[in-house]
Amino acid sequence: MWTLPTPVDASSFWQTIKENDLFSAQKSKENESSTTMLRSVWATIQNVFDTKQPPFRIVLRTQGGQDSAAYGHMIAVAESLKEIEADWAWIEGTLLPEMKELEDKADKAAYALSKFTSLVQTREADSDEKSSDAKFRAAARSWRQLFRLPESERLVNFYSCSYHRRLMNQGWMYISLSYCCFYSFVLGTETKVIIELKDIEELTKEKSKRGMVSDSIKIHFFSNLFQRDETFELLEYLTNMAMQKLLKATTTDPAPGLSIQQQESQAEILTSPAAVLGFVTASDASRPLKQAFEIQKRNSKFQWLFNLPSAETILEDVAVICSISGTNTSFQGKLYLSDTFLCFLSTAKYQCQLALPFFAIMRVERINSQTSTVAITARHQLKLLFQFTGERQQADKFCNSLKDRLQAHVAMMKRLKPFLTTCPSEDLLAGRDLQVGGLGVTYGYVDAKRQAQAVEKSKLRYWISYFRAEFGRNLTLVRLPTFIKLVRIGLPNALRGEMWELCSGAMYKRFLGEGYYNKLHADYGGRTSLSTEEIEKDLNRSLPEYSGYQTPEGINALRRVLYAYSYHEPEIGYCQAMNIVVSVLLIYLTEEQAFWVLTVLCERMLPGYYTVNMVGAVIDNHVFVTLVERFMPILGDHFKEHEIQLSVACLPWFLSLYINSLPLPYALRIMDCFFMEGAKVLFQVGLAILKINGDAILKVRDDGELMNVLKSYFGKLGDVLQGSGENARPTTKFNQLMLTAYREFQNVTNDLIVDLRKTHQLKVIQSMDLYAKRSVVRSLTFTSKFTKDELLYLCDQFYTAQFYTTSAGKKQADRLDLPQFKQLLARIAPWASFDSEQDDQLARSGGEASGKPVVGADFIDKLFAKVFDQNADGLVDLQDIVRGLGKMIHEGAAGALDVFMRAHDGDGDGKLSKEETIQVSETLLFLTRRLEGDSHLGSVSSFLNRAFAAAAAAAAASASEAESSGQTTQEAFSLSSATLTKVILADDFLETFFSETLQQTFVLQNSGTGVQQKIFAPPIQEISESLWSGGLKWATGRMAAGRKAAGGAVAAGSGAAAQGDKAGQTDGAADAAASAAGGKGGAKMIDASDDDADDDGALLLEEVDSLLREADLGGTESEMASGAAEVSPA
Amino acid sequence: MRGGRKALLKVIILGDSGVGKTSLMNQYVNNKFSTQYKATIGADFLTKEVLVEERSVTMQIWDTAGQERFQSLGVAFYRGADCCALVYDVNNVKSFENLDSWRDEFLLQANPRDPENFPFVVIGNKVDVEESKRQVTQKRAMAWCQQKGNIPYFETSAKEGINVEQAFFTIAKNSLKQEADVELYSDFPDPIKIDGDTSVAKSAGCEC
Ligand SMILES: Nc1nc2c(ncn2[C@@H]2O[C@H](COP(=O)(O)OP(=O)(O)OP(=O)(O)O)[C@@H](O)[C@H]2O)c(=O)[nH]1
Ligand SMILES: [Mg+2]
Repeated sequence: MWTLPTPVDASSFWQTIKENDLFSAQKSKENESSTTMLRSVWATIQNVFDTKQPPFRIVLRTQGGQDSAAYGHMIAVAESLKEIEADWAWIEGTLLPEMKELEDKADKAAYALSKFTSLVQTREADSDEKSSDAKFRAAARSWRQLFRLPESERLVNFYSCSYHRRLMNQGWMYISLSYCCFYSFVLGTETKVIIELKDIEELTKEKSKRGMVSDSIKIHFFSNLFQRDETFELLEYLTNMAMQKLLKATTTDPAPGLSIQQQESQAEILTSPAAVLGFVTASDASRPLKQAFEIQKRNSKFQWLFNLPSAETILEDVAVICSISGTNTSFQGKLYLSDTFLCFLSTAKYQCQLALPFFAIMRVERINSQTSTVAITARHQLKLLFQFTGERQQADKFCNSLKDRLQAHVAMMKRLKPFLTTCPSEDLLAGRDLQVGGLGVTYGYVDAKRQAQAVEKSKLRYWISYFRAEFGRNLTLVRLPTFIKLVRIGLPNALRGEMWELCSGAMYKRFLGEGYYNKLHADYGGRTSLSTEEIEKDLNRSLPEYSGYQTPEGINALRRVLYAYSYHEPEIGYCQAMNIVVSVLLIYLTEEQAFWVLTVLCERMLPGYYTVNMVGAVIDNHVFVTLVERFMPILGDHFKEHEIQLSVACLPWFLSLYINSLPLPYALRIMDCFFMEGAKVLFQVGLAILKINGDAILKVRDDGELMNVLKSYFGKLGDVLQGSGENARPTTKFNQLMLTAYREFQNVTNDLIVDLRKTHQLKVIQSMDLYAKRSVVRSLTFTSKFTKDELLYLCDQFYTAQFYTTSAGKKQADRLDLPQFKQLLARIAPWASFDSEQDDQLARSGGEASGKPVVGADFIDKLFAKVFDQNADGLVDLQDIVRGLGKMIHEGAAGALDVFMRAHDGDGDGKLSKEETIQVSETLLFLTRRLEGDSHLGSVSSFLNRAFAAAAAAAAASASEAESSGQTTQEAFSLSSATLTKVILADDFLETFFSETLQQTFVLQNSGTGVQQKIFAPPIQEISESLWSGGLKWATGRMAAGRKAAGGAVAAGSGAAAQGDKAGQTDGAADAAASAAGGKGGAKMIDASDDDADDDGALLLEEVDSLLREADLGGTESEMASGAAEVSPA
Repeated sequence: MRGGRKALLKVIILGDSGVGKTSLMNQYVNNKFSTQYKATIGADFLTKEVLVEERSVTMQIWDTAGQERFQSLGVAFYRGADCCALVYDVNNVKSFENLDSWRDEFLLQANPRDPENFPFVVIGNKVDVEESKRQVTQKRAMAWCQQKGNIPYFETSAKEGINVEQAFFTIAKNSLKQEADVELYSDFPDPIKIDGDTSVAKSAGCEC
């Protein structure tokens, strides 16, 4: 196999086997290490350092370059001599003639180098081996060889760690897109673990660098993870992606927001796991996925911090001190530059935050005194000074980037002016009436208090003075602590919409996505889909009490926003509760503004809430329950004790942002905080509600009573509470609620919520997946004699087969094509799996699997076409699978034979031709190829004999019949179904095979644990055992022979050596074991020294005994004893 | 022993979105129809005192969200239901065809002791709408009810208050009957939640 040319040094570990001017083929000396044990130690070392090298390589000698240490470039590696010889032959036969013209040796070397580089690069167009990181490349290569996963699978990263299975096995964890694999090779024991990410139910970090992964089958422990948190995060991320994909696969319905025409014309969207991950684009191919993953993580955190659109990525970041003209304080923090924004965040929480779009910046000046500073003047008289605290170079780089970005945005600046006319803050400052706005402008607002107007006025005064203080407004607004306070006391109606839009980041999206909303209507308007139908039903059931929605104007606005969203995101389409949220948004925002706020809600603030499975809402419900248990354990216990499901009461709170539960004016106040501070507010308020009503809740005994308590509380939120303290002012119950939310639950941060969401995600998705599969199984009309668990298992395997393979052509959500069917079968019947054949082939040839088909393997193709695929469309669904397998498994020999007959009867005439009968025998060989012994071979050949005899007899009979009736018949071979049955049942082996063995080959339950352990060099215990049984004689002989030769120097071979050279002894033991295990070779040697053995048997018994003790290699005493008992008669 | 019976009946109303579940419940409990109800998010309930067979019982009527995706939110409150009303809109054939899956889903989630004999009531709502809009005939609906074990069938209008009282009265009566039956083997522990297995109910049934 050609490799990317890698510099290597002349190493004494390599021995040259072939050579010419330029190249040398070499063989690793490691293989020569004389003993098995040493080899295994070698392998262990290699494994621990992951330096595993194939034993053969070809080196292009390029010495004399600048790098004198380099001796040449490795250009090929191979596992076998044969393979390396093939590569060598290519070099001699093709490459060297090509280079004949080149005179200079250096030119030749250069030519060869580029040749190999391009060879490899075309071959590895998008595989990990192309990575620039040599270590990663090596790891990717060993991972591929070790685990033989599908081609499309890509390694993301690998980590050193150990796996617990009785012992600790130090080795490597390989994380790829859909698998977590572990490999270790320690003292002769190979451990391979393959965990499918989609099966993982729980990931837990434990103390002391230990981590736990549990899938449906068992729990795996990994420890010594030096980068545990990183590993964990990566696993968590990929597992979640895998699960999401799986969940999507089991949801077979088309996207609800697609119109019927669109559904039909929609091409296959089935994507490779890599593409599903989103961040894996073609250009990333040369970069390890892990890096891409980290960049993405950093960017999404950044977007989340500043509420930016998801296209924004960090270009530069520097440490600065920020001062704003108009304040005396300055803030230490970090300045970021992204594609469209200049962002600043103070190190101290809540002190200063700002996201300034480039198109709102008017002037940038570099002030170079002792310190490096930039002065920025933005719209709205906002003046900012950023003093760079880091190195000068960094500042220069940052300023250059800033200059480039600003230039790129000049064109956008002219869009700013019209945009500002849609911002009420501009009207307010100009003292105008509002120019544009939501339904509220016409139909009024909903207020709680009677003195609403006065309150509105005084709030507005605060805001105007904030804007006037040159802290910017709308697109340029700087968030200082006063801003946060002003939002928390409740926004004035006139500014509510603008602040929602700004705080959520929807305002940026609207600016950047100018025209998109109208285009959606232009492109899709008039189409109907499941979602539009559902929307129609709910238009009048959104906020019917608001006068705006008793008019066509209000209803039409609501319709247009909801329709637009279903066009925009057909996978989500429309979910009840969106109507309620949007109906409130529209009081304060225009259609277009409300649309963009809705996108932010669905994408970032309430992720997954309104999807078809509402998985986000379910996860958040779990998060909420966890928080209740953590902060109010007494309540938590009470709910558990009475089996009260909080979700009944609380899910609507989250889904409708409290609008459905609380009187609207209070819900609006919560929304103010929610848009500014994120989802944590919903949780804080929810917790506060439960806390305040704690006493009453402790008395409830079921969901209904809980709802009653809460409902009556919500009805009294406007009640005034008399303060109890001395200078306590009276306050409303609602204010008490908000104070409790912020004070008592300040530890509920967005970070905590994000963490908890991740923790619960896996379990929730797994259970949803199970739920989805249950309903698939329930919808089966024919279930043969399978148990429910078996059906569920089949269903699981069905979707798994679909999960790992991508089929070409149109998306067939609930069907498998032939390759997928093969996968499925391989997962449930060992004879349908070819993995071990590949292993065998590899072992034999030492190279890549030759891909030669196994004889009779086309039986599976026949099964698919003739038995399972009933309607012959090249696809099978779960029902087909159940029916076909039922016939093979649950209908005895008759059923199995019928399947056989149908599979082989090519023309469907109920008779087998000669050719087909031979194929039957091949199939029999195929199915029995894994059986021990060779009795089945005899049965198969006698089957052929009998079949031919029977066919001949039948032919003769019909011929004579034909003769007697005066007709002529062609002498045709044909075997009817009845004859086939008779012939097969006549043989004892085949009879059992068709009535029991075949059926038993199917495994319809989770049996594998994903862990394989293979022992190459026998482990120590076995070494000692075999030493006793067979090896002893040989050992005795050798030592005796040695003694004779050395003249009685027994000690050298035994006793003394025990103290001196343990390793040497170990070798001896291993050799003995190896030869014992090796069979014939060893046996010969034993024979040769047989005579001597008897003489000194008794003495040596003691010696070896003590040796084993010394080396601590021995098994238990009893093992010793039994070993001795076996040996002594000899 | 009469006093042993619980005086609370739990009734679940299921059916597609927009068939009129919320309106029916409000018509029955408050005797009024309004066009101002919001779409139901999650679940809600109302209670009503009723007199059945000279006994005063409290009916706790649970109204649920009809949109399909809300099913995945978990339907914990199905447990312990005494009766389930399946509602469809006689002017919408799809809402009728979905009754099957509503019934299955209910049995799966509620996991009643004796699913074969669990009391359902089917309600075809909105019969006040003009005849020409009607998509499901009475005959077709009754055939379905027959086939599912003789489920009582009512045609109602929540808007006009037609037949609502009668439907809910049957619901109350049948829940109560179920209560009485359950009492016979109330010593048996709750079946463990696995699936709609009938074994517990059957073995219990043998006792009588
Ligand atoms: N004509 C007529 N309209 C009705 C009747 N019952 C309900 N409606 C109307 O049908 C629409 C839906 O009624 P709801 O009671 O909200 O429906 P629902 O089943 O609760 O719907 P979800 O909460 O979405 O599951 C409303 O516009 C009602 O006014 C009826 O008997 N006749
Ligand atoms: Mg409703």
